[in-house]
Amino acid sequence: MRGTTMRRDSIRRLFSASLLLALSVGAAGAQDAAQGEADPHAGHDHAAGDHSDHDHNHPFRDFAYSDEMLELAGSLPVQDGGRVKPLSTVAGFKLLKTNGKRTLRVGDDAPEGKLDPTAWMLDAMLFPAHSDHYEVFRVDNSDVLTAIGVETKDSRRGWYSYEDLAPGRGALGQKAQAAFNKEQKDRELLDNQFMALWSCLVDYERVTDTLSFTRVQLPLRSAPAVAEIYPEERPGLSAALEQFPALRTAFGDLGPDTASEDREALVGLVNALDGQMTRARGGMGFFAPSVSKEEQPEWMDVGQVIELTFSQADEVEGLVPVLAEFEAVEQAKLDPAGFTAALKTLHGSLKSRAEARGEYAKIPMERSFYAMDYFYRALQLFGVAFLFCALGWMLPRAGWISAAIWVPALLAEGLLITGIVMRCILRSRPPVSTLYETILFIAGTGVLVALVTEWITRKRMALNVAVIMGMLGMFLAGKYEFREAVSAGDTMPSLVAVLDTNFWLATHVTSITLGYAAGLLASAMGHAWLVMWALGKKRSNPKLMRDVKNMMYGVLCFALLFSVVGTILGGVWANDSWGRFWGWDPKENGALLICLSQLAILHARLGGLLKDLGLVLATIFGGMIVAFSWWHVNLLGVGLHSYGFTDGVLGNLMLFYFIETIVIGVALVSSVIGQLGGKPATS
Amino acid sequence: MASDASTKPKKGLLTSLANALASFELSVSILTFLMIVTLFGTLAQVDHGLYAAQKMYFESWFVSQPLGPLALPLPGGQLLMAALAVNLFFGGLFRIRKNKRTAGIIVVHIGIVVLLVSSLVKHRFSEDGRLTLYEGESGAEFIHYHDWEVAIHEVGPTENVKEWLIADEDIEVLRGDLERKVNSPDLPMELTLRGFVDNAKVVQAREGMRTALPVVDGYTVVPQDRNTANELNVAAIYVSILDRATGSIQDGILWGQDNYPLVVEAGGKEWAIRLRHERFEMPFGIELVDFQKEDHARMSMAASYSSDVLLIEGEERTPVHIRMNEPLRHKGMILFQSGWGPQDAAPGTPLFSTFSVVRNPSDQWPLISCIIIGVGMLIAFAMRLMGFVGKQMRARREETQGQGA
Repeated sequence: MRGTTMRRDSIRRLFSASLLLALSVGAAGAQDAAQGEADPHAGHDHAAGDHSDHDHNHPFRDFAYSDEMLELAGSLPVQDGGRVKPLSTVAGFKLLKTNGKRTLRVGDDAPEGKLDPTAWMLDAMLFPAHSDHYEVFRVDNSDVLTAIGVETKDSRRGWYSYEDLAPGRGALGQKAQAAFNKEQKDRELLDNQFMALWSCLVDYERVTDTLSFTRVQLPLRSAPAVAEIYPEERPGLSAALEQFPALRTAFGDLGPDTASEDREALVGLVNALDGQMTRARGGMGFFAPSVSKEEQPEWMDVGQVIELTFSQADEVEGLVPVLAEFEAVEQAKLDPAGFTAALKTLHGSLKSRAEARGEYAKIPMERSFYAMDYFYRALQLFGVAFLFCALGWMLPRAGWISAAIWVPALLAEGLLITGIVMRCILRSRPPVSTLYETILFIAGTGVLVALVTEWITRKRMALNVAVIMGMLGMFLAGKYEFREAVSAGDTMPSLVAVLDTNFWLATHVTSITLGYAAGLLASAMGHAWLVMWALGKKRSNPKLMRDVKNMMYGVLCFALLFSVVGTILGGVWANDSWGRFWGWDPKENGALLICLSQLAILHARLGGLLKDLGLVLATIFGGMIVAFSWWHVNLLGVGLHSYGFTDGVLGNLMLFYFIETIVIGVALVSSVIGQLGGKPATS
Repeated sequence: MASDASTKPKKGLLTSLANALASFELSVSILTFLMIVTLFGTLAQVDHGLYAAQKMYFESWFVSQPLGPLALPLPGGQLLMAALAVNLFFGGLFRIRKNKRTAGIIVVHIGIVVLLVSSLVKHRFSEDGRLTLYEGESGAEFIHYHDWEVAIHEVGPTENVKEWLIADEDIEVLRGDLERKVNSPDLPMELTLRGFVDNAKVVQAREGMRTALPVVDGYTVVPQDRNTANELNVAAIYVSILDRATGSIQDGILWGQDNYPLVVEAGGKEWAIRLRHERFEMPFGIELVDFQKEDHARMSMAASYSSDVLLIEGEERTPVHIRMNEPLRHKGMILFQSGWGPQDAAPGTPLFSTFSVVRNPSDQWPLISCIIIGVGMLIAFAMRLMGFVGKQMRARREETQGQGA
């Protein structure tokens, strides 16, 4: 990395030295030529809020994107967030972050009426003036808009277009900057919302700027020196770069005898290219280098391609034609057949460059992973299974209900496991390395253990618990995916250096997460027992109550096994990474709390200190401790494990603690009242 | 951790005591208190930082937990660990019934004993600190993160310099009016240390400046709020040096961030005195050859960082690569890649690499305990699971036969 940075710097210095040379021979008036004579779209500056590509006198497509177009565009490989992924993934998370959903309703604004992420991104890149009308910015709190002087809609939450927000852009930038400068603990809700909206706005502007280079027409003066190199009057970027060696030679020949007309024209052109390079820096990494990924892992954006051209690097060979292919896509955007053909050519080029480095293989799989939407479909199937569960409570003697629950539950679990396995393959990682993945894994393994328990016991109780746990897990995963989109822009982010170890991720993280899953499953079974207890099943069906309690106890033992082994393995990992087995870090303490609570429960049971009700209530309390360890310790903002995006989680956690405390309290009070009332002790 | 519930108590004071120490009641009480202390100790880190919370809750015999205007007395982590060890010994190993059913549990308890012993050994006998080297530099000693020491040596000699050291536990208690006189027959002077401050600045005393602490040669100590990250605190202490030969007294201030030591005259020689973080010798030297940091592609997030070092033993130089999760283990020392800098270095600027250095006799014992506990739990719970499954199968068979009849 240091090598790469140094190389770039030397390139930059080389070019700057050339430019200084030119300026020293008396080139004046370069600035006006640099950008001013370019196409009206060129030269816009996001920082200053100039969004000149968004001029509204631009034609818009009159056809809906075909499946082929979306497939070609969606599977363009791009390097983003440290990995190579399809453009559709980038589009999906950007749309999710901005809009709160992966689809965008646009009504009559586009032939489709409803856009998927790739279609939205294509419109934003190719037709920015038009996409500015799309109400894509979800604003949860209209106070944000009031504060920046933007007219609000009737409701507190609303969707706004870029055009709506543009008048408040400057004020929003200032508010976001002021919020950013505050300590995190001092930020109020509104501060976070300013920063979030600003981030979406800037992201959107970057997307609309992605293909602005394809609309560039460089300024040429009718000087002989330039006319010799560029026969066309206003060449595009690729044409300008194609002839750059000749331009460089002419530039090197500049001297005191050079006609001022030629000098100004040459310097103006070089300055314009420099302006393009600066503007395109930090754009999307579409350009895979021609060397191996070990030699140069970083892909390039357009700015870097221009920079390479300046530096005469060998790597640039073959990249300028790809720029021309992007320009061809822009030029064909109003003609469906031409557009498809241009996309096909571009896709072929980018794909072969990626394939040459072995970086394309997972693109089709990732496309299919998101197309299948495994976890949402699993949620739907768990929902169907839950309906049958509810029916089963009303018709307890109907024998067919079990099969009716099993089928969708198994299908849902199959989808969930398939999704998790696909993520492992895509990331080349064990199943859990982020907070989001803990949700998937806990739901997947919790449901699996419950289904196995059901298969052994055949009481339909574990089946009900499996379905409810699966449904809640998938619902939570959906919610958290949005948060990951906001914070990391992906649910498969790059990992910090210490996590770059598949051995420890596979052993410690997997074990401890299994411990969480089993602890929560035991708690869920405790709730089931409590419901039956409240319904008086203790008398009408004592065997069932005993079986459920035994199931819960067994799952608790399973939880203890994985919690203890996972916690100690975590210590062993910490010993290898940081030089200490135990550091009293909040996450470590959270894991210890789980182990201690489960050990205390099992010992209290063995010693006869807890009867059935006490055992169940203690297990439910254990579920609260799992929640504390899983989420709450990350909110404390201290320690080495404060990773993951957890804003807004505290309220939900508090609600969970509150409900569970009420459940435990009510059960205890009922039990005491029952005993005082002379009824036989319930437990 | 306790004997089987059916164990009948026998008469006699010792037996009753052993029964109490082996009881499930004691196990559950210890575990519950450990939970409470762990919870409070975790939450306290938000305000006090990890180091202070660790001292207050986990390395103490008693805790006074503030609850609004009240203070709730609790047993400290150290006391609870000791009680757990006793309970585990009596109940989990000694009094527990020894049969096939309890075999797994006994194995688990043995694993926990190994874990507790390894923690004790680590707590009592380990040393840890850091070693920072620029590329091309070498070093053979590491510096404690938290503990301070006062070091004295004669000015002048450059070889075989003898140092006299006053350890952290002897100086960090010297707060307020407390003072300690330090004598050595080898030194021509007597030191009196007083007024230790955990985190301080030493500033020039201005006219009209309000300071509760003495002014020495126009300078005074200004206490600062403690950083929750303890390693950022810079201590200071006042010192008076009595020259035994002449009876003259020189006063001075020692500050942890001074670039130069305090130099005094005693016995006709010059002596350098400084306050610094405690240092430990390693049985070998390390030279940093090259430090590498690699970012994730098109991101500023580090994907890995590592150091190429030479392990120096006498004339021998052995190349070693140290990276995250792959420390160097050699002669009882462990060196971990833990940091680097300067963070904003321009290309070509020399970089430094920081290693965490640990000397821990029980380094790999937790892994052994983990294996023992895992095996024990598998035995215990597998037996229980098989029993449960068998019972369910039998019940279903009986149900089916009942329906058939």
